[in-house]
Amino acid sequence: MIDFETSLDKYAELIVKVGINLQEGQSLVMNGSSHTRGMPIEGAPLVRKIVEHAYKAGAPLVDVLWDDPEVAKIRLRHSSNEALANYYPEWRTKGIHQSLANGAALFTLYATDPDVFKGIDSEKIGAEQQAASIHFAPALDIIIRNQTNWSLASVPVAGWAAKVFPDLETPDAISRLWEMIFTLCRLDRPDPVAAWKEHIADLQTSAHYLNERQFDALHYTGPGTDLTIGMPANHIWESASKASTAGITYVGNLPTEEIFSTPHKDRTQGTVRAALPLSYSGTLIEDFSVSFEAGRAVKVAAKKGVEALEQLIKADEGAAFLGEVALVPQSSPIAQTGILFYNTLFDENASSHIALGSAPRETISGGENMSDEEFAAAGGNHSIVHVDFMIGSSQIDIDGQDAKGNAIPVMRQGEWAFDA
Amino acid sequence: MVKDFEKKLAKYADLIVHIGLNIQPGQRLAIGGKNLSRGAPLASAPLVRKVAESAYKAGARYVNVLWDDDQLHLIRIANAPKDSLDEFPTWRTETLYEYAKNGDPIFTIFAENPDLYAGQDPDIVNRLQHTMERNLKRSTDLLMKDAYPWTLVSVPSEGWANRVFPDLPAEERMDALWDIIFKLVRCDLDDPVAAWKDHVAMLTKSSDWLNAKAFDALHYTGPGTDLTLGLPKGHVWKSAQSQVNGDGTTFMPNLPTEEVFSMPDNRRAEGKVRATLPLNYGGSLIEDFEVVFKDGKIVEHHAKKGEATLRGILETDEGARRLGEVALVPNSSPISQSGRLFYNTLYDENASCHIALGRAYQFSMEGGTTMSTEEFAEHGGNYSLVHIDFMIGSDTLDIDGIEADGKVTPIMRQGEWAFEA
Repeated sequence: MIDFETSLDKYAELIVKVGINLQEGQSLVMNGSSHTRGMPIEGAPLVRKIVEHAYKAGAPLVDVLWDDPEVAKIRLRHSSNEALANYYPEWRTKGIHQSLANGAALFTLYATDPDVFKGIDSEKIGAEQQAASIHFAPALDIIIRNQTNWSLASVPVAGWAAKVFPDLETPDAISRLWEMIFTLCRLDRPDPVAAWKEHIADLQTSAHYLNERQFDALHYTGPGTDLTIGMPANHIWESASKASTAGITYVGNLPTEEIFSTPHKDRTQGTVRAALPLSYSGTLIEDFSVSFEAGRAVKVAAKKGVEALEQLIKADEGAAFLGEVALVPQSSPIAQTGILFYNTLFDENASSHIALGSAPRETISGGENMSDEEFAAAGGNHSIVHVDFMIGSSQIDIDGQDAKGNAIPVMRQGEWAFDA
Repeated sequence: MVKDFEKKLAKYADLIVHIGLNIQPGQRLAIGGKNLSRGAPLASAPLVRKVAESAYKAGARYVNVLWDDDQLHLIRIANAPKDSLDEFPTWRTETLYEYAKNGDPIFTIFAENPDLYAGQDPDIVNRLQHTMERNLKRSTDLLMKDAYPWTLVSVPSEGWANRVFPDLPAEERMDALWDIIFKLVRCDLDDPVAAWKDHVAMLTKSSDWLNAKAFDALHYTGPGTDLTLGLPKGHVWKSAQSQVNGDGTTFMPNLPTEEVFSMPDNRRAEGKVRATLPLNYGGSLIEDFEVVFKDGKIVEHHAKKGEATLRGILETDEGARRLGEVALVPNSSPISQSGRLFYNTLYDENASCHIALGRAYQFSMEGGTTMSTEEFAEHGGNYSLVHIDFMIGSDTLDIDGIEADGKVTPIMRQGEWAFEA
């Protein structure tokens, strides 16, 4: 393994230069991904490096919104549902929203212990999560309208590392997970920035092919899965890199292997079985399937965590509809590790997936400038949540259907079935 | 390992919640710090978690922790564009103000490495400090009026432990500092809450005696010191406990606390005073310094080390050159007896008589909390963005109280109380 400090520094540099692509004079807000949306204090070593690179890039202010999952857990244990639903630290979401509205870029550290809230009443978690989502909505609006440049990356936290590598002692599990992250982010290459440029170009070629085809629907078949996802007119397949409406090119996820678009929210039909467990606000949902009628999730089943899944689709009206469809070949480096990461950022890049909740505006032509009503009329979904779950495997076939009903293979046994 | 660490930490947290903040069911609690962005240091997480738990058990509706990482300030100073240092994350001070305005308690943790900004340009550090003070001003206004309950405590950090215990092996310093802190906040005892109630009663006796005397001035003499401080009519000596807006809800601003304090008339300080301990100001140390007063204002200052930082303080505003607090601590106080220099105002000010540059507490004046800033100034109350204590007590210091008719009564001799309360 290369020297840890050097890798950490390269990782931070990749995040600032390729991920966020922070501009001179642009401020940066840094937060976390779950419950109160704060930056986990365990992330401090990476955070400090990112802050350093951000100031070097000319940021006037880097504002880190810290949080401690342990304090969040103490609250869940001792607070009433009513207090959880009604008391939220508004400074977090207001602070983020104000900064983004003023042109700041956003970095989100996606690192949670999947079992952090094990044993805590899922209704309590749901109440707190919903309060957080409601307060975050204005900031999320800026993000889904693609009005600023942002990036998401991960860092090993103790509980997460122990979950991924249960047979290792925690300090060794953390080291092993760092190694994985460094490798999957291509930091073992002599020039990681150049390696990323090449990878981004490859993904763009596949997205370009799908955009040319403009399929009317995708048909998924596999064990437990027979699902048709209608695609809206003028949908756009995106990959790794995109430009904000302010014209700044950025890579929203590090790492990223996916090509994604938005389904037509009212045209999903059939049943899909998840290929991997879903970690949602501290609860693990396992062996689950979702059935759709006219776009809406009408039935859910799960061997474990079904309550959390039910909470999720009830978060608001849009939470029961799809907002994203993404394709990832089984040969992606993350899939090749054969490791279940219990972390959407990694698992979604190991597997084709779909998301319940809000749709990225830029995946319908002109979507960034549409009102909520116009976007909905075009088939775009709106919700306070956006939760990905994995459906791809080496047993999944996907066909693209054109308006006349002709089927063209898109994936066979989890691999691309076309020559882009 | 500190013996019974978890148990003592939980006692410390309960003491903070029940005696310090005196949290009432239904209140919200904000937890912050005393550094450049008023955030709770990441290293204080073990205590923060215990305090959050104790507060929720006491019926708090929400515990709002505003974290901060001191390292990020150093990274900013080293790397940020030089013209960007006035930027400030205003959500931090806005949030604190919202709690203060609502009368909700604020818990503040001071755990800074005294050498954090050693070697940094003092002008830059001062500028960051002034930016923070400006943004915090509305909350400070409320604090000076006892409008909300607050408590300040310290938690060991590595840099701080290194400073206090350079004589111990590196790996023993944090434990040594925890040990002594637990002792000084009386959390090594079975019932710290009862111990604090006894201690508060003792301090109150001394402040009652001084209030009954209503001296017109204090006269300090000692090596390098010959200072007369005028006390305004209606000044009030306070100790340990305060009341929220005088409504009977008590809180304890400092843990630990050993002092009895009031306000001088900001127009009536004459003579010179030599500091007896170094001053740690926001991570910069000022050592071996003395100041000369005329008509209440500092007209001369000297420091062997950190003179630029001292000058920076004095240049903050007009009121930074005048006094806002006078405090008496006998040399036999447990902190003083520990024989340690803590490089931390919370501890060092409770080991020694001290005075403070800058803003006066309005509650130090009878009827002061309902006065406007102008009215308060007419009574000799000092105004400034800063409030900075420095230590002048020692076992060679004598203090006399002078009544309006010139009668002299000994208050302290060789650093100890000289009266029977």
